[in-house]
Amino acid sequence: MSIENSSVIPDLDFNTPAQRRGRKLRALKDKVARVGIGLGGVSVIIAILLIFFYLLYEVIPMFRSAEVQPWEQNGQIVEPYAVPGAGKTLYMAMEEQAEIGIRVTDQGNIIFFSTTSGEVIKSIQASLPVGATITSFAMVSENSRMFALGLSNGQALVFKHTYKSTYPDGKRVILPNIAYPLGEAPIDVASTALEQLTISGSEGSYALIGGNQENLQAIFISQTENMFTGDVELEESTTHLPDLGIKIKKMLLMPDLAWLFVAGESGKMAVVNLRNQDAPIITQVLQASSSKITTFDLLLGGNAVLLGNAEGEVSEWFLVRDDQGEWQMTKIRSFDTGQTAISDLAIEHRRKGFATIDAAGELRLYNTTANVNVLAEKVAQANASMITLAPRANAALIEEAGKLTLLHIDNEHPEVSWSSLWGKVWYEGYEEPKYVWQSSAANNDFEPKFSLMPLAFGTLKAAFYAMILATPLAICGAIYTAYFMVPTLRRKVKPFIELMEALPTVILGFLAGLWLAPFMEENLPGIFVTLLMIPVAILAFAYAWAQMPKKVRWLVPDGWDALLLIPVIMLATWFSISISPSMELALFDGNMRHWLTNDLGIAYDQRNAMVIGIAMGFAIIPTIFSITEDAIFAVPKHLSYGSLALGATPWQTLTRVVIPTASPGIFSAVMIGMGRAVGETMIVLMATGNTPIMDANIFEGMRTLAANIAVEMPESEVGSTHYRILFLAAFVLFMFTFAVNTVAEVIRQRLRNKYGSL
Amino acid sequence: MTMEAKTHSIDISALQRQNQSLRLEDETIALTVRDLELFYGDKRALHGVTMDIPKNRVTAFIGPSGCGKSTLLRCFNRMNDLVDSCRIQGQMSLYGQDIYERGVDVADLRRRVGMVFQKPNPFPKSIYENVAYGLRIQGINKKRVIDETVEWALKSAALWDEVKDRLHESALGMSGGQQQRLVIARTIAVKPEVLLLDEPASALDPISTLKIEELINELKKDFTIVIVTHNMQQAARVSDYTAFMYMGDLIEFGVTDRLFTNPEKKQTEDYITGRYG
Repeated sequence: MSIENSSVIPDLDFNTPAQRRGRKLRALKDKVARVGIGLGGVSVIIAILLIFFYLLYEVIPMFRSAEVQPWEQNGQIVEPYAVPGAGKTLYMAMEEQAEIGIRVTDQGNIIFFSTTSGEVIKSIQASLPVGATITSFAMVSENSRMFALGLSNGQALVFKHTYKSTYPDGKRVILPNIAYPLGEAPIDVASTALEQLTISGSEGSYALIGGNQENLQAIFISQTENMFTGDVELEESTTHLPDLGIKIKKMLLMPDLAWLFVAGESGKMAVVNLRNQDAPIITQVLQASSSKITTFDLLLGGNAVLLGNAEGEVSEWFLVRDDQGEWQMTKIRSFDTGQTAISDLAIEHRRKGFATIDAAGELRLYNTTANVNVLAEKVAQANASMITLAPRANAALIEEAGKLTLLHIDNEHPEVSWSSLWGKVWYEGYEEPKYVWQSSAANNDFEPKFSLMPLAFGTLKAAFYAMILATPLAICGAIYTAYFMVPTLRRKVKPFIELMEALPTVILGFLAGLWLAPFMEENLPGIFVTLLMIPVAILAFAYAWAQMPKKVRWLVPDGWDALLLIPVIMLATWFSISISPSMELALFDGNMRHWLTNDLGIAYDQRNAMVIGIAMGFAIIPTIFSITEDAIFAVPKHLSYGSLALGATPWQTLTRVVIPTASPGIFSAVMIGMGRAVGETMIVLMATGNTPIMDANIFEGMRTLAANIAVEMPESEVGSTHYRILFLAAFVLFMFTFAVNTVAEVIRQRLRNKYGSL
Repeated sequence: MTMEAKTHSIDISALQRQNQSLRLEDETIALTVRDLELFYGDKRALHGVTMDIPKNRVTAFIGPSGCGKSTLLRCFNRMNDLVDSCRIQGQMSLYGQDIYERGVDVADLRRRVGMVFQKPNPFPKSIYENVAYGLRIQGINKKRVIDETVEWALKSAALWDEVKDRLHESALGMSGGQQQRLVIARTIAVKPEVLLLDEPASALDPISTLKIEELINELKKDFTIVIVTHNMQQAARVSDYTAFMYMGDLIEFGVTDRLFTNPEKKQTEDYITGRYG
């Protein structure tokens, strides 16, 4: 091909107008493509950043501290106003909207007033028996709105404040009233004056305990409704309490009427077991505080006692079962407070929280589960004597020196703290601090348990078992396919495995949960034998094959021999499953599952980590396989030839040259597979049982972060703490994948620099 | 181009003087090839090649592209086995032992018949580990032995002075010429009997080429060398014997000096005078 061969040089003009137009168009296309591709790339980054910031936007409010401001009505700050009515305040509360307050005085006056102006809306005088005066006061609980007045004649009056909303002229009017849940007549509690009184119970079953230091009596009242007349009949029984040996300051009765807690002087506390109503037993008298007990209240739900003392310490106590099965009143935690004595403590109506006001006029808000003090602000002068919270915990009334102050509180998410999310928390009714996720329950006074640890643990556990199965299989398969298999077979095998990735995970989850899990439970020994048998059978077959006469071996061309393993694997599996029943009979008394549980004490769930390992392993094999295969196949041939030409066997070449060179790719394959396992939702949702337990046991289930979001998002109230914690879980998942991918990328780049091919 | 010309003027006369007294009949034969036929699928790539390659001499294979010289070279260490559809007939032996006999340990054969490729292919390891690689795969792990061998191999490959201070740096940071000499060092470190060089200098600059050629001249004292080259001047400069191949046939084989100055076949003459392409 020399130039002399062609005699005529073609007449080419590259400068015609059409050519110039073409070049302009070409440049334009190039520009459009560049801008378009750039835009696409930037939008991907922007989209990820937006997701990141949206998650953050939903999460951040949880970590804001609370705020308190003077209440504003129609744009006007509500100034402190004079306490409505005369006498000393025994009890103060607000209704749902915080518009109407109730004040009960030591004169038996029940005054409903406007919380914003102090104007008296309704005033009721309790009908005290002649000659009797009010000597004590007791409250069932904040949210029950029931209280009792103890009288000097040994009787008690029980009231309930109720509110009814009506809408005359389309405007809401709240009508307060007083009801008598245990009848209007005074109840005889003790024969002596009720210097001390406590009342507790729930629908249909109440108890009052009252009296004085020498004579303490309990009356148990059960209400039954007559089916024919609709009348309520009261059944009463009384009992005499033993001498407590301490000077009674205040008594608290648990709502199940089984336990009585008594605060005594100089920090002593007594615990009385009332399970046997006829014979109460004093189980404990302990030094609960080093100084005088100033406040003594039951937390929401009535299971925990909050004890404030003159040193300004507030501590939480509840009954914990000890090693002998005895209930012991135990100090669970104390709260970070000022050094000043607590003047009053108000319990939140719907959360495990409380507010304190101390002798210095400082208002503090706490949450017990999270053990946080979300607010500390001076709102009153030194002589504030009483505080009460609105049911929604959005308002507080503070009484100081004959004046009432209404405050607005913004405290949306006190339940969240670093320790409640990631640390062990001692929940009510638990024997020790634990990591627990339990976001909701049937009752309203339930303590939500928002520990992300079981979920994070479950996520890693699921990923771990899936990786254990998938990584070796996928990598070994990829090595064989890329390095030993004949190209014709490889071209068929690779797309086939990659096709597995297209299988919707919901189908895998469905199969795993409904078919594999019961199948595994039935054939447990078979599954184990299979896992053991397949590698053994493969190795044994390979050895036998290598010992075959060459004539036989040459029947199968090099690189096709893997196909021979298909019947071997099928046979090994069939054999293992079919010996399963006889193995169960011979070794495990006929049922391996029972044997595990009864003889070894290993708990077994039908949907467990082993099912997940197999099902999710199956799902991530294609990811790992595909990337590993590409990485190994991309190792330049001249490197492996160079090694072979030096006298290395193919195996030596593989382990010493090919795999190190492909290691960045293999590493990222494993990391991407892990990222997929961590984020996988449908399989774990359907086949784990979703039990948020922290146990590495392969026979127990777990709940992963992703599955938890899927399960609970539909049932969580928008904007609630639960809702935001689910976003936090998503954020954690996001950060986890982000961190894994970043680390993977950094390591991959470094490996690539080290082993970068030529 | 000037560099090429300079190289040419320096070496060729000196090298040619060495060749003057050679006679194939006096040589010890290292490799024998008898009626070798090679097929890629249905296509026959070598047509009955018969030749003897003498020990401790440099034998060059020349010929136009696609004539089968590299294919023939790869038969000596059975690298053609790695090509899927490749089939061989005829006989080939190393010191009388049939290379293609059943039961031959191919890996050991390849150690005895080392090979250097056209493109430098150091492993992504350190310089030291590249040279030690061949020893390690033979199970030699004594540090002293490896140290000595590495030093000897790098000295033999005329690379020691350039790399002795950075033995543990990556081989990928070396220049192309250094890499190719490293590959030669790596190959001779396992003490092969035959060294196959497949166009070892074609990807290199003239100075590196010169160094490789000088190295080949040094190495033939210890090794039997077979070199495939496109470059006839190179063949004339470095080799003692030359084989001219064309379209899968061995056309002419003889002492380099004679083949270049007085070829027997017309095709050879046409080729060396530049009538092929």
